Amino acid sequence: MIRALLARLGSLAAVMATVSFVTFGFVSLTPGDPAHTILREQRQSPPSEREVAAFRAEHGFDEPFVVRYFSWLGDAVRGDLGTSYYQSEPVTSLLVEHLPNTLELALAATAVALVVAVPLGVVSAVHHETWIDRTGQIAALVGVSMPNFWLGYLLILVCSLRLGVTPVSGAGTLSHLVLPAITLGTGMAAVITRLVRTSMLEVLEAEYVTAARSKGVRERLVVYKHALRNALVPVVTIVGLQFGFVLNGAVVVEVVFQRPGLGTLLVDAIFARDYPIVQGVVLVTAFAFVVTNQLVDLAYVALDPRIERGGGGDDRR
Amino acid sequence: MNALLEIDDLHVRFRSRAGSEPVRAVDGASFRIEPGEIVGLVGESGSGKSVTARSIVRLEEPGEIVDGNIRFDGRELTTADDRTLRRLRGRELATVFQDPSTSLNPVYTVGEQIAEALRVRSDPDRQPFFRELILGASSRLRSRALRSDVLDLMETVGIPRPAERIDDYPHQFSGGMRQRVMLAIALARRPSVLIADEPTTALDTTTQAAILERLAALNEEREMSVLLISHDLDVVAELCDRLVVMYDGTVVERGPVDDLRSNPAHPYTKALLGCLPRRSKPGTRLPTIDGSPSDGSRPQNGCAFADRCSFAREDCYSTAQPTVSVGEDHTVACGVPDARESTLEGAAANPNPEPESTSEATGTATTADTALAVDGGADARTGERVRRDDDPTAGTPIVELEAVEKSFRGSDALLDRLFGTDERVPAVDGVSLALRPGETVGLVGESGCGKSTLARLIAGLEEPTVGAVRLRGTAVGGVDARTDDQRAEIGVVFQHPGTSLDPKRTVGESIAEPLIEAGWAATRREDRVAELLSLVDLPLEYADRFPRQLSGGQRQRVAIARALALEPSVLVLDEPTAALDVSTQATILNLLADLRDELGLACLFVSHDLDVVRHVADRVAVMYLGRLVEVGRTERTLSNPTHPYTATLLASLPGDRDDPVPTAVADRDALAGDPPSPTDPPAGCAFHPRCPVATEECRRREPPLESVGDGTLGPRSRCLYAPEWIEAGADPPSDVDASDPGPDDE
Ligand code: SF4
Ligand code: SF4
Repeated sequence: MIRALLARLGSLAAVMATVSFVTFGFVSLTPGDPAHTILREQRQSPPSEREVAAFRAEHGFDEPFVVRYFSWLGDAVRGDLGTSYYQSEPVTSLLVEHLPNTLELALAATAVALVVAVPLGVVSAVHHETWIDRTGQIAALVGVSMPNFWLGYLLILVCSLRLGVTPVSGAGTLSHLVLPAITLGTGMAAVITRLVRTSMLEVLEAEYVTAARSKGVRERLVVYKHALRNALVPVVTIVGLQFGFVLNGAVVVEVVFQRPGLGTLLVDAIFARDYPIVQGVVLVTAFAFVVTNQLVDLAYVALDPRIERGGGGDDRR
Repeated sequence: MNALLEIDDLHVRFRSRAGSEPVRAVDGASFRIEPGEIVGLVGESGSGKSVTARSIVRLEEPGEIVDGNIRFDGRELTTADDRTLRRLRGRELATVFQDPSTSLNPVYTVGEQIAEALRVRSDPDRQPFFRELILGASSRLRSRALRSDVLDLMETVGIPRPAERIDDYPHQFSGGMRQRVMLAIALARRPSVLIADEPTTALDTTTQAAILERLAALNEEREMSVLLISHDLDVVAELCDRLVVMYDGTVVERGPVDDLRSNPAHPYTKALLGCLPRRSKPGTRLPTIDGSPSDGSRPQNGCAFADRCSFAREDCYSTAQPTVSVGEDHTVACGVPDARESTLEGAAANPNPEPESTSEATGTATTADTALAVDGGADARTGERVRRDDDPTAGTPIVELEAVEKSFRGSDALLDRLFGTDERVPAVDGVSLALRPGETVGLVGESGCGKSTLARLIAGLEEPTVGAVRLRGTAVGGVDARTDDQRAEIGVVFQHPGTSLDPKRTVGESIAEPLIEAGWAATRREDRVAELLSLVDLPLEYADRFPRQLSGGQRQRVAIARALALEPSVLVLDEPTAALDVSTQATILNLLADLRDELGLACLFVSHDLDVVRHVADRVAVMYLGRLVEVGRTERTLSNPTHPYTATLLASLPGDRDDPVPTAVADRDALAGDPPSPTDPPAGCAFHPRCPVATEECRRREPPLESVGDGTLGPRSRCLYAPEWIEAGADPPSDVDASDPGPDDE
């Protein structure tokens, strides 16, 4: 058990190290000298050679790549991701400031998606090949193919501008969260609906479902107790993966709704060539992705007793 | 007398795609079950027996009851509403399904699944939604009272140490134990009728015997009626009071079990009894049933069996056949007196002039000249095969196993592998065995004993951990390490042709696969495929069909053809007929016997069915926990075993025997439990925990595999008391001296 845990932590560390290296490398390789850009922005005129040199020295640009990477990594491990070139604020505190908003959005979107998708998928499967199923299928198709930003603007147009029930932009209250969460959750809901439907269709054919019926269990329990839990096993992986994409989608949605968050932070930082922030955001996102996947594994164990627990020598060949 | 359950003229159709005729799965079945009675419902796949059984509890999906009545205790079930059905399923009519590996829900503990049945029984109408969901989510059965009831039930069905197992999940149980759990779930409802749909077909013969015995005992104790469905007449016959034989959706014969077995009247019943290997002389050709198996597309009127019946007359095809009474409570749906009165042998010796090649052809089959020719030859070879027990030591072995050991990793974790801390689970432990040209060795044992691994080792699909597999004297590794010639020497046939054939390839492509790998030119390949198809009695057009268009028996023929593609000298057969109906099994066994004689093949025949092995094998090797416990000539070993394990296996065979096992050690209950885990084999004789005659000595001393009796030539046994068993047995056969190959087998 402890060994398994250690193995898990080990692989987690390896993934994070790779991600950090790639992030750091890519950002450093992008064309355009940040020293130039930043100084020009600050002074509103081209900086002198001397000023540029001083800036580079101050931020350690003169060192060779590997040295810079390791010192950055060393700091990062201690929670210091450097200082924003532009806002002269520690990146860590900027992240801490913006992360909760994004996390809130991602979780809300996932919740919206699950609440809509699971029942919809189950109902579609139970009423397989009826008008209910077909309507659900079409809705899912529309949901998948609708671009985030477009749906976002549409919702703003209808709900905020026409009906005036929700604020157009910003963050903080629940009403600020509703539209972005729906925007972001729709695509995910569509994917999950299809998946739940397919998975349920398969499980409903299983012999143990018939066996449950033959016990006299009522149909609603046959579906939700006996079939659904089995059907959810494959769904969990996709939800985990989707969560990563939700973080990506959050970037767009935050811009559309002008919500402060990692997305807006990242976009601003990219335009300003504010490398430390870009690196920080990417690193945090990757970390979230890896952690989610670990949580997915745990959820597996909870859902499907055949994994990890028990094991050894029971399944005779 | 008022029947408890009465099925009257039941018609069930399968819904099918628009346009095509609906399949008539059940076409006018009628029978009844009295209180406390065990009725056997017998028929092959496609006979409609399972659909009938499921229709009783109204689980006929995807079928539809279109006509007829099902009455339980005077209530009509065909029109019952959901609520009534729930009550009946929860309290009166319990069902056990065929395959316990799929009929238990994998995500709930067995305790919860049994408890659920108890809760439903106590109140079928309520079943609060959220309470049930929450109870399911817990991995431990909490309610104290319920727990003790569940434990009682587990005890009743014979699950050892129930208190330790109640919170385990289904995958932690063996097949036999899972079926016991299913039985406990059924008993939780205290039903008045138990419907058991092929409850033992997926199990070993030993487990089968134990489960059937348990059923009989429960029937006695609880006065519960049982409807026992099976494709094997002999299996159910022992238990049942009455039998109902179904063919193609209709009941062709029914009657009291003794009368029906001693005086079968319907030609189909006779054929069904005749094609069982245990009823034929070993080494002879098995009688087969001609014509295609039922597929629900027969003509409106007339006898369903007419296409395959050797007594069929003109009017059999056109007019409905009367149901004739041939004894007390014994009726048969056949209007031809000659057919009814012919003896079993007579029926078998009345060979249909039609070629066997069409024996499994589906409706669309056309005549095949190539197959005809071969078949003519095949049918002529009816005589008894000369058994190769004259001088088995003569030939040089083709395949030799030298103290082969194979173990598998207990876990797949990366770190375990890095640190080498993983447990090794031994599957095969020090086995030495030789296979000579033209010889068939039967390898028997319960599931998990390592017999399949041994077969895979010979085929090169696994490599031995220790020891060597020799092919014509040269040690060979896995398939990848073998030369083309070495690979060509061994052909393999597995149990499930469905999974070993690629569904997306045509039969021809599948058969040609090994030829392509061996680098044959296209034209030569085509000729060879044609040759192989005719060798296995399949028409040439089958080359263009896909596996799903074939019946199970035909698929197995294709698998055999592929195994023979490169003219091997050895055929490894891993349970080749275990998934087939008895009549199909008979045709496949005949085919294998012909091929073996014609091509001089050496065969390793792996099977859990001793009757089949007795029929085909020259020698048997019995395996227990990865080791050989007895090796010897078939006839001798299976009539006078020298190891208690072999004796117990024999005792668990179904059916009445003319010659019951003569040893004193036979004890059916001995194998009721599971074999011990191979990770942790018992000390001393590995069989001692289950051995009915174990002594203190057995716990301490590990017996070697030693020759018994006549010096180096006798059978070999891994039992301390082997010489005693040989004496306890009947008079030894006179030809005892010409028995077993000696030293090179260990
Ligand atoms: S003799 Fe005629 S009625 Fe009797 S089983 Fe044969 S085909 Fe059917
Ligand atoms: S050695 Fe003892 S325990 Fe083992 S089979 Fe013989 S009698 Fe039974």
